[in-house]
Amino acid sequence: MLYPLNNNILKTLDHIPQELFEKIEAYLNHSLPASEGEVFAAEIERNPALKQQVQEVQDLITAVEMASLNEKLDIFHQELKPDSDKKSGFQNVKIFYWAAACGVIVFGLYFFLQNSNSPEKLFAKHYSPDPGLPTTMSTVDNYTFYDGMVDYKLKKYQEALEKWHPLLQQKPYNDTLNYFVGVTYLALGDTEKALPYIDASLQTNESIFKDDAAFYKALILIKNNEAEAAKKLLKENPSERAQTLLGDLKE
Amino acid sequence: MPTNYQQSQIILAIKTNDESVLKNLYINNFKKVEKFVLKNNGSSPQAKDLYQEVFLTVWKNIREDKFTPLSDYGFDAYLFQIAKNKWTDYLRSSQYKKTRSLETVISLEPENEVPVNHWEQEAKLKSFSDAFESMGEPCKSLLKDFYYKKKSLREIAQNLNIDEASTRNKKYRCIQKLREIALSPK
Repeated sequence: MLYPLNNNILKTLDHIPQELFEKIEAYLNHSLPASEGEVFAAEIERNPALKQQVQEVQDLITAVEMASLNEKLDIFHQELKPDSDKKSGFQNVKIFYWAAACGVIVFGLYFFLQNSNSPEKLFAKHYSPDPGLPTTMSTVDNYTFYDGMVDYKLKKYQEALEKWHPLLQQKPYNDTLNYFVGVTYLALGDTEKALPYIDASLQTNESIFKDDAAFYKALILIKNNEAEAAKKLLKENPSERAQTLLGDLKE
Repeated sequence: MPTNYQQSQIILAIKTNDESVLKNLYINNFKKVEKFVLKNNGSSPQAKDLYQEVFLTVWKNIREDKFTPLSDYGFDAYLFQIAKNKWTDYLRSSQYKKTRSLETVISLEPENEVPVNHWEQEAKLKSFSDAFESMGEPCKSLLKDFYYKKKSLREIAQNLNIDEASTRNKKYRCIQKLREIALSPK
């Protein structure tokens, strides 16, 4: 069946009969039987007026869906918390460190029984890789940064470094980049390479990574047999896990 | 709250209007766009308007297979790129140039050519969307249930306490009404 040819614009199209409307609708949502769908598709290609009618039905349906979704967007928007990215990031980090602190206490008891505080053992006892940032959190406007963060979380440390080093060349004083490059080297076991980056991240006074950077630097100092310098640093940056580490150092 | 979606999850969620996923995608990407707008001479309300427009554009482009995200990171990057382009277009616009010198604001990429029929289709969609918003609640609700919430005619018929054939006819009449409102002289 061919539908009447009409090359005029939408406003002059006759209304679409119900039967045709429902057939177009079924075609668009792929609910026509396969053979019927193929015949109808060929017919649409042959008949410009029908093609226009199909487009119109598609537009009507899309418009209904878009308008419905648009109404929802304001509701979604109300669920955004002020500064939700940063706060949720802090909250996540806080929860993690609470969990980490609990873990440290449990392991601490175990190691207490072992009664050994050599630098290597202290390092091994207190070190756990930084969990990384939630990959949806926006602290740096760079897709590559998040791409690297995905690698980091998957423990593909070299891949993460390959993505972050070029960014660091562009922003050599960025505390986030310096911190994560540093902790990535640390995760690779290379404390020598990790130290200058962690140091660089410590230069930003307002950095949200300052306490963590200080903790990791203290661990590196402990490993390098510089316990006094580590103690000083931990006292200056007294996070919960810094206190725990300090407690072990004093024993 | 799951945030790392697979490609197939994002496409399916967008094609079926899965609100929990849509909400997560919305919430997870807003701050980055807002930050960009605020850094580039915009305000928070402008960031919200821009973001919602962009979100709908991305939704539509995925629906029409004009863009296929490889993961939520692909979705995020695509959405942010469109937001940047749209905001750049705004900064270039005569409306903005009236008050600010462009050179002091941002370095801009060359404008992309947009086919005329793209704007015609956008205008048509806007006209249909506006018409939908002005419809009476019974039609609006029925069309929303069927097309947006993907409820079956049977389910809608049960809710309306009428039979399925009547629901089908009612849906058709509502669509015709929508079309009439959109095409009537303003």
